[in-house]
Amino acid sequence: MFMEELGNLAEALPGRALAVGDLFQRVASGSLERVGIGAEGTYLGAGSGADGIGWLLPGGPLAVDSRTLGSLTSQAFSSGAVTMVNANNGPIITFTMPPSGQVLVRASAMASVAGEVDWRFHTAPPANGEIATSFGLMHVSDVVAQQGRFEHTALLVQGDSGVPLPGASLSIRWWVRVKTGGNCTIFYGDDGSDTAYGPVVLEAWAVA
Amino acid sequence: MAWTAPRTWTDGEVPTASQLNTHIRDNMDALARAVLTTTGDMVRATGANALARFAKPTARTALLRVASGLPAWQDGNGLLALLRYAPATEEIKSTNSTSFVDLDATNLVVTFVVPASGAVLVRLTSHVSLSGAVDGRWNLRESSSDVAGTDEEVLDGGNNCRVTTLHRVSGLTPGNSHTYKWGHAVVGVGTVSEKMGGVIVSDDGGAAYMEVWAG
Repeated sequence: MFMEELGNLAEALPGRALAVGDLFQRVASGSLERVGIGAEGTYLGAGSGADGIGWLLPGGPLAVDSRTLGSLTSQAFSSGAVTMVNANNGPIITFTMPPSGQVLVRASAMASVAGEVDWRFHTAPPANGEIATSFGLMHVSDVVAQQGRFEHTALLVQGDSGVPLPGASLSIRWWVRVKTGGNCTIFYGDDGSDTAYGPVVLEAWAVA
Repeated sequence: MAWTAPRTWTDGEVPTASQLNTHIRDNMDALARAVLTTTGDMVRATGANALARFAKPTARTALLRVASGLPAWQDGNGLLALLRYAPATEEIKSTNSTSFVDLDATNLVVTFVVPASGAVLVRLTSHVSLSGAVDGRWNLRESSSDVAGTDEEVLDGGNNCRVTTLHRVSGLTPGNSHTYKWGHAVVGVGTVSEKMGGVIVSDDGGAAYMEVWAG
């Protein structure tokens, strides 16, 4: 009888603790098992697994670059070219690919577009290549320019051209393609007036 | 079972059943293993020498935080569902219906579990164009019904561009599963069309997105 009781004690804490920060949970077998302590910056959550809880890196913002100037300015993109957005030397974002291998990238700005225009993301420096899955058609066909605040979203997935594996660093810049006959201009700046354009913004969000 | 400070035994002492039950049985029943019932359970203190079951959260996005001085699960305000639809050959979804119809009930669908807040943010992104004197409209649909409060004008009277909309849907029951589809319609006589997929070197639309965030 006492041996059974002593056996129960062997299952009890702190006999199962192996490291500072250890946490414990019940597992499917009914046993009490170590969850341990997670990597720096991780959170405790249910995760996607069927069993128990674990340490996770949640979704959330990875990098944001917002560029503006104290005066109103613009960048016009040449017809027939693919050109990098250069608003006060940016925006450019650099982040580490999350464990999921998936990142949502968004670009937004006040813009005028006409003809055939698309926005897309390249790795930086640009010579490293285009992310082929990242394009989005802003406008097509009409010769009358449409002006407003435009937004482009792209999901980058590891294995897509130019998108590395989790843990690797990735830098992104924003490019504009204007097919012959079209035009695109991006406006930015804040001079304190009620007609200020606001910033150009590039964001990266981890998908959990 | 309440914890009792373990007795200090003396030489030659013959323990009674009551002492054994109090100091061994009852204390064993107060240990962590005894209060756990379900896979994923942890324990947390509810007072000095008192442990209670701390069940794992139901939501995939829940994270541990401190609330009222105790560890508690809270929605991580994360992405609940994400769909990128980018067929290799561009597809154009069109309607001239003045009541909402599904863009694509097979491919433009997201399913999510309602977070504890009972609210979600749904973001839709696509290239959209009009022909005729019409306004183009989007909404969210579930089964054959329109989701209340999500009817929105996306393009007014001609032209075309890439559009992003954000709908907040509240009053949902936490833990329930919902499947939303993307609806479109026109006001007037004409057509609204969404271009999606294709290849980068053409004038194809690029990916369409449906995102659902805890709201």
